[in-house]
Amino acid sequence: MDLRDSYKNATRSIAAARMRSFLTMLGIIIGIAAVILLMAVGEGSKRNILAQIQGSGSGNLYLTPGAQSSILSGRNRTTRDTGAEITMDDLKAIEARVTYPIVVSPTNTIGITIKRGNTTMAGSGMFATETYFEVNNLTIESGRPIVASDVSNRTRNVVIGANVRSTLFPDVSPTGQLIRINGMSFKVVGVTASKGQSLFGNSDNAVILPLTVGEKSFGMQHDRISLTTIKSVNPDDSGAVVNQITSILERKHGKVDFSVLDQKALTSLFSSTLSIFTALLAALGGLSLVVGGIGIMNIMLVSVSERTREIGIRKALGARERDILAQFLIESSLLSGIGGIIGVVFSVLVANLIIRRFLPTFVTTSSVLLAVGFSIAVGIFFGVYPARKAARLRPVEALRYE
Amino acid sequence: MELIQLTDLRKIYTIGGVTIEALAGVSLDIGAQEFVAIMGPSGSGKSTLMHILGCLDSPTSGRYMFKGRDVSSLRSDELAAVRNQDMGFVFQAYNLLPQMSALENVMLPLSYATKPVRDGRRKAEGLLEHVGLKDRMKNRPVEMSGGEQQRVAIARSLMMDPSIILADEPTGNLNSKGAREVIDTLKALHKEGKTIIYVTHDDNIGAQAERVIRIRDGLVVADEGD
Repeated sequence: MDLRDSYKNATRSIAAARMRSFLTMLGIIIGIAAVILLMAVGEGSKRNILAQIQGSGSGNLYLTPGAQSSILSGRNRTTRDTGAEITMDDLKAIEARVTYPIVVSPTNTIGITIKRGNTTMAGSGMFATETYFEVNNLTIESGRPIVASDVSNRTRNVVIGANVRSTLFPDVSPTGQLIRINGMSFKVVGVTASKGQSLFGNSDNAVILPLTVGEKSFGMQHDRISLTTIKSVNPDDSGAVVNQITSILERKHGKVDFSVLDQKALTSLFSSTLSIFTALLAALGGLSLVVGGIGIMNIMLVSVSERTREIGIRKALGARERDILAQFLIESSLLSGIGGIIGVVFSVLVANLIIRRFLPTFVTTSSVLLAVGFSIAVGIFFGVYPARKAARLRPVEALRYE
Repeated sequence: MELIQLTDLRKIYTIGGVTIEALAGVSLDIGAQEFVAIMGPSGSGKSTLMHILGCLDSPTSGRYMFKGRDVSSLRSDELAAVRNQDMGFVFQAYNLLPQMSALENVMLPLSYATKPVRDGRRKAEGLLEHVGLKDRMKNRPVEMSGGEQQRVAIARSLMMDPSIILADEPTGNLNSKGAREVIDTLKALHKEGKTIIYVTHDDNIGAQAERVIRIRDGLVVADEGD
């Protein structure tokens, strides 16, 4: 039987049971949409995070205690958790011995409550030094930044982020005003310009305090630095700087109980982790596609038994086993293929028109090809059993079937 | 050489542990251009014989020589090719595909042809015209009378120029007018030189043939020519 006839036959019998065919396809449509949409969200967040890494400054290196970088698990992990520590003494050694021009910015972060008058908000407290602004590309919108003397004198001067300013100081200039952080009084000396979400949180919701104040007022050990950002002034040097820092600290600590990542390492670290995440999401979607495939098998089995007589007639007229097999396989793969295409169109529309408003999404060509290919494969795979059953019917018995 | 030679043909079924001998050793020859009726009461084995003759079923033992070739032990694909090329079937229940027009039904054997047929569509139209259904080509089976449907089936059976036309109770579902139309069509085909074998339990219909083979309990009990 030639292929055009087969497709004509298949579309005819799909059209003959329109509602049933649609419901069968719905399983595949939902499966395909699940694969594509979940992958789009996975890919979207991956691209988003990688873009943040790119935007974080190409010469930046991230030094954290512990041989495994704590960047992925959260930057607030302290030396207590890892058994390893990075101290101010380590950073002094780095500053003194690295032969390339660098800027070192140690930070510790905690969650804080900020209060002014009757207004309270939650934010993050960044305990940092005067280098923080340069390393993180933060500009001062009004007032002044934290300076070296704030750190050395343990002043209670703070710089607030744009959101903190708009929440607590909707109508007055914040500079020179007092705010309470975790119940203690601090003086606002400056406001940073809005920067939005970045890799290490949102600086708009942060209050930047002198590093030394952490020890004095918040019970932190300022000598244990959870995240040190080191900017290589010339980005091309960053690889060499990583090597120097590693050998300096390894000699000093006697072992590698820290990790230094440059932007490239960070990108590949995040990239591989996020790819696993995306693959996991795709597998979840694939699961629903398998369920859709079982639906196809179910309907094809019903169709085979309903059309037993037709199979008998076709066999009497000379249809071989492979003709009958092909007829039912074409029908099942057409069902899943059409379902797949509807699913692709539907999910591309949903991803771009609806989900994009809430989450970063990116529909890749490969996810579309994967989904369509997989849906046709599902149709063939789950069509084989019913089709074989049909092909192997004995003509006499099939003709006798009422 | 005879078209069909059956030697000690047996067919044994086992249904639910009970063994039934539907054919208990049938031997007979049928030549080309014969017009044969196979008659017998229900359960006599005449339908089983018909199915084996049409290569829809295989015998349990014995030999079936068709055009000098032993077809008793062919594989299912080879049997399918024999059915397509050499057998034209007419069934009691017409067995047309309901979703297709009369013309498409007649053309259906072309889908499984092992060798190309030229001008299949024109040939199918000619066959429908030949059985008196020139104006019904686009109609679907449900839109036709039983006699008309059976004539579509006869046209379909002729599509591949088969060696024999096998008709299993072709008038069984028809009223007397439809039955007469069908038997007249078969007779006309015989006059054109076709070999026709049909099964019936109706004496009047059986009497139309030139040779009547009577079957009872899986055995040939009478074989009378005109």
